[in-house]
Amino acid sequence: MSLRERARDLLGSPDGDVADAVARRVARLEESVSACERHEEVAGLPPVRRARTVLDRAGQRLALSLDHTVVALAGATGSGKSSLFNALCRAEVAEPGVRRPTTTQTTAAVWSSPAASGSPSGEESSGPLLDWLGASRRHHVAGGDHLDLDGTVLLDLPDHDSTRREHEQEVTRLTGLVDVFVWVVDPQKYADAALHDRHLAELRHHAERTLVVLNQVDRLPPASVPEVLDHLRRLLASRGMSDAQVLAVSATRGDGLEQLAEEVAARVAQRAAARGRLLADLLDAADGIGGRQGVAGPAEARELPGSARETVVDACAAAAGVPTVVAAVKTAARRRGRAATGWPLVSWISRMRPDPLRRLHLEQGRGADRDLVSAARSSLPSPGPVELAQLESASRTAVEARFAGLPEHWRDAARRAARAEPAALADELDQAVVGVDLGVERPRLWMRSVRLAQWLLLLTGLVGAAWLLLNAFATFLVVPLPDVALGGDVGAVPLPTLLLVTGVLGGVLLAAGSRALVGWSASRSSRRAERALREAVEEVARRRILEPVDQVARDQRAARAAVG
Amino acid sequence: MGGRQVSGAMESSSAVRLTERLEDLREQLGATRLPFDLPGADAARADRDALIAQIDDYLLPRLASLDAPLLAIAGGSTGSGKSTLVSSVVGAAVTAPGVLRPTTRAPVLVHHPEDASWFTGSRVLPGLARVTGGGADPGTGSLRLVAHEGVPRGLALLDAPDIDSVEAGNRALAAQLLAAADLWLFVTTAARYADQVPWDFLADAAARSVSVTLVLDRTDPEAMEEVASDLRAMLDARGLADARVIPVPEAAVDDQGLLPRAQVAEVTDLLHGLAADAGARATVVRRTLDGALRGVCDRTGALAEHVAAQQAARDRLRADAAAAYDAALLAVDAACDDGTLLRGEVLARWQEFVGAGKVLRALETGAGRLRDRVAAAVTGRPPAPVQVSQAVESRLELLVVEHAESAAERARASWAADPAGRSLLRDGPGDLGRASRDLRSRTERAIRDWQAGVLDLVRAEGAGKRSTARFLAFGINGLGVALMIVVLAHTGGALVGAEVGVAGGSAVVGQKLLEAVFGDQAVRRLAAQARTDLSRRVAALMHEERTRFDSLVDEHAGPASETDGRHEQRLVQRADAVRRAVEDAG
Repeated sequence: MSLRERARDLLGSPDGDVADAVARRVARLEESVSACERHEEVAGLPPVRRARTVLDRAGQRLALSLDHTVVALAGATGSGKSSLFNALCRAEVAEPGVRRPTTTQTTAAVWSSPAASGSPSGEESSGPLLDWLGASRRHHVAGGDHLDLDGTVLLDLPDHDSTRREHEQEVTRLTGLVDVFVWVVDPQKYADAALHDRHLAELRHHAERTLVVLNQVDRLPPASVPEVLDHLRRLLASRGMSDAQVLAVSATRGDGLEQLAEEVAARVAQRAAARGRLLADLLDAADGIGGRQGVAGPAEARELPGSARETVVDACAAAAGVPTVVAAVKTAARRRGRAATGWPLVSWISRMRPDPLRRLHLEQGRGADRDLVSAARSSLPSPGPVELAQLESASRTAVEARFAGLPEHWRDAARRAARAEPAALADELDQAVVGVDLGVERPRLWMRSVRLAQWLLLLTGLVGAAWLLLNAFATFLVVPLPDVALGGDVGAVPLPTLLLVTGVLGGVLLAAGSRALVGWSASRSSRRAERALREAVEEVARRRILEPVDQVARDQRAARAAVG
Repeated sequence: MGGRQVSGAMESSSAVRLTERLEDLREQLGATRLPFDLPGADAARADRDALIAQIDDYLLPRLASLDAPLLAIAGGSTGSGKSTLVSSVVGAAVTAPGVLRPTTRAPVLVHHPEDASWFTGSRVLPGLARVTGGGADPGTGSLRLVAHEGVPRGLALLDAPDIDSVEAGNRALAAQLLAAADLWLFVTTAARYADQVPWDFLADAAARSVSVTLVLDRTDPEAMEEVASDLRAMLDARGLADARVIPVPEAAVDDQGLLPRAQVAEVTDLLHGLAADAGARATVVRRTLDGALRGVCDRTGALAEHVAAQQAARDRLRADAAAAYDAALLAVDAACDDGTLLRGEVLARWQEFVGAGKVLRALETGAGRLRDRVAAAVTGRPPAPVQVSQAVESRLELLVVEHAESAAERARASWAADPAGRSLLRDGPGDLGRASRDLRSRTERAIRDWQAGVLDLVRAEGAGKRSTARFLAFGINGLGVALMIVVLAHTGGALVGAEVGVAGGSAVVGQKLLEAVFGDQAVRRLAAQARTDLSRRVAALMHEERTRFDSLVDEHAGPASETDGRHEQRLVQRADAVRRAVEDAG
């Protein structure tokens, strides 16, 4: 359904519905415009700025008297606006003259009902409206004739085409505010470019509330009046104003004045023109944002494909040095495991070698210490140009994946939102890495059991060795020892010897057997650490890159919701 | 012909020189291109076209024949009664007035039958086709000629289209015709006389002192005095104090559509008086001609300023693109120099290559290679040196492509912030903000080529040493990879933290290896050569990317030539030459 059809449908419905429709439209457009305004690339676009103006005006107009309908007499200099104004007011309010331009100040005439004496007078209720319109010269017309012009605020605007530029500015300002337009033209000027191309083109969507009055028909040969009217209608239609009503009048002779007053009265009586104008403006502005050619774009931003998300997280992980940390975790886990499970007599040697995690300043304390440590910075290398390039490339891919085919300003906004300052991002990534529990601080339970066993075996060996030494010493001194002290034999082997051999051999074998387990456990630790690191990095990626882009996508969708 | 009898004061030689200078200026104006949509570009283009049209339509023909009939134009707003006025002055319905606006489409030129030869050819207004006789309105783009005795000899009357109706073609043609006339009969009415549009034309007329006579048409006799005095005051205030105002009160037309003779007597008298008095006519012609010549010179000066702005815009657009890509090139170069390229995968593969003792093993025996090959066949992984060079390639490629992407993005952004750039982007391909589609594959090829070049370097350097045990042991691939590592670790010092010892050490291993084979001087030379080659290839890639922007500029503005910068000066010079020739002739 076209914009205009929709507006007409809405206006055809009962009063309350129109009010509802306007309120709904205002709310919806407000949401869309705010969404657009959150991004500087979009906020500066003309349709967005225009929609903001429309919203502001709608807010102002709705706060003012809706029982009054503002009708503007606009037109070129010398077309007879002031004469028509006087004729409609039935008083010499404006002063027509032969010197051009005549009217320099907007004059307002307000029709107030004499019946409404109990209620606040028209003068009072229309006051704020006239202040808003900036009409300082005011005239009050008592109603009471057979036409119901009650609630009409008739404005006599300055010309739009004279050498006085400020007149045209005033006309442009007021045509943005009034509810019903009466464009006064004359046989000389009805085809001027200044009227059709500059003013009527802007107000195309108000055709239903527009009357085009051909004044001074007394100057035309009577036979050619229909011909001129027909040409004027064609001119209007060619510019999308076929719904505008065309009337022929003569302010001096009085032709058609009655009909003009009736037409105005009909539009005023419905009390719908003010809301109708707002509604048409709102729909037009919404079309500029959410329409087919609107700033929101022809389609909604797509969801982020999982692969693009992975690419971003991968790039963040690479920039955070996750592979380095994972490798260090593996080495450290293996080393610590070996130190824990190795044969105690030699395992201390491995402790002499530098610990990779400690070198990266990722050595973590426990409990209260942890927080102190995690506030510090690691010694991981900061992301180099290749890592940063990879990050840029990933975030660009993510933006492209979501905004391909949409207007460039959305893509630009998303790119800006996703563009993190490298130093700050590097810092956050580092904090994320430092904050991860790498799970290699405490030896595993089985390692501790092995260590206990190792110590026990060592003790066993030592006991055996000491016993043997004692026996040897006793033999040397030729001191006979009781059988028990000699330990006796277990099978064929003497007990002390058995203890020594079991202790040493057991320790070495246990160490060798644990080595394979330690390797497996180190791989597991590194995998677990990698998972934890990726999670932490993903959180940063989400916060700094994915979520800002998501916000732009949400705003783009909100902008699209302006229509519909 | 030649204006000898009228222009007694003007020597023919100086007149010829003036014509030549004017033709020079005309040529330069014709060669003036204003391709960029800068603010004011539309106005400047219109101005250029108007200048060319005025030189062709009016100045050159008028200079060639100063005694040609005086061309008076009835111009003004739609509905001001130009056609009725012309017909009434001539005394016959030569042009058709009407109630539908705008009325006159094709301009009508009314001349005395004996003056026909002046107008039937393409002497004046060569751009308009000539139409004679009645028939349908041929539209703008043609000129209807009417020969009538009602016009005195030595004078022609032109009924121009309106200057302000919805018909854009009429407005443009009217402006062109007004620029080509010797005398303006500017028709306005009581309703029109304060309109903005006619006053824009009158301001122009005042600026170049055209002979203007205002006809205040279709005015109520009662209001005539007040309106006329108001109009007089406006003329005085706007530099047209010597313009005459002729009132023509509103009156009923006869059955032919003509005003009573008495109503237009003053206009008729003016025209007949001019026709009869050759001296007065020459004065009017000279006055308008001088004004027009001066106006052309002044407006060329203003146009030259815009030409300079256009040139500046072109330079700016190219410089924007160049800055973006230069920055990208610089960044890639810096990354290649600080050793950071060696991190991660490259370092790991290189360490595998040197650290796992393969180098040492290879040093001992050539069998190492065979073993590698067997290992490669079993594990499905390429031999270690290939892995290193693949890692180098993928990191270099990532770096180059990404910097080309961000350069494209930056260049597009700076163009988008420039009015001239915006219009180029609007018309150009939509993907200018991205690197070109095949950049990745081209980069890959360039880096492979570079690596092949490095191997060639090694091969050439080792030509005499092919048979040495060490050379054989490493093979060209191993030495080539070592050279790449040395090149990319050039400064080495930028390696930080955990990697410093390892990577720095790795580069040292490579360096030692190469020195052992080639000697230290040769290694330094080889490294420098390989480095330069890499820079050159990356620069070529970036340049190709930049060309997309440059060629868009060239496509739009025509290829750059060395005279571009002087175009503005030439315009000014030629306008000055015309001005001097006018002074000489005057």
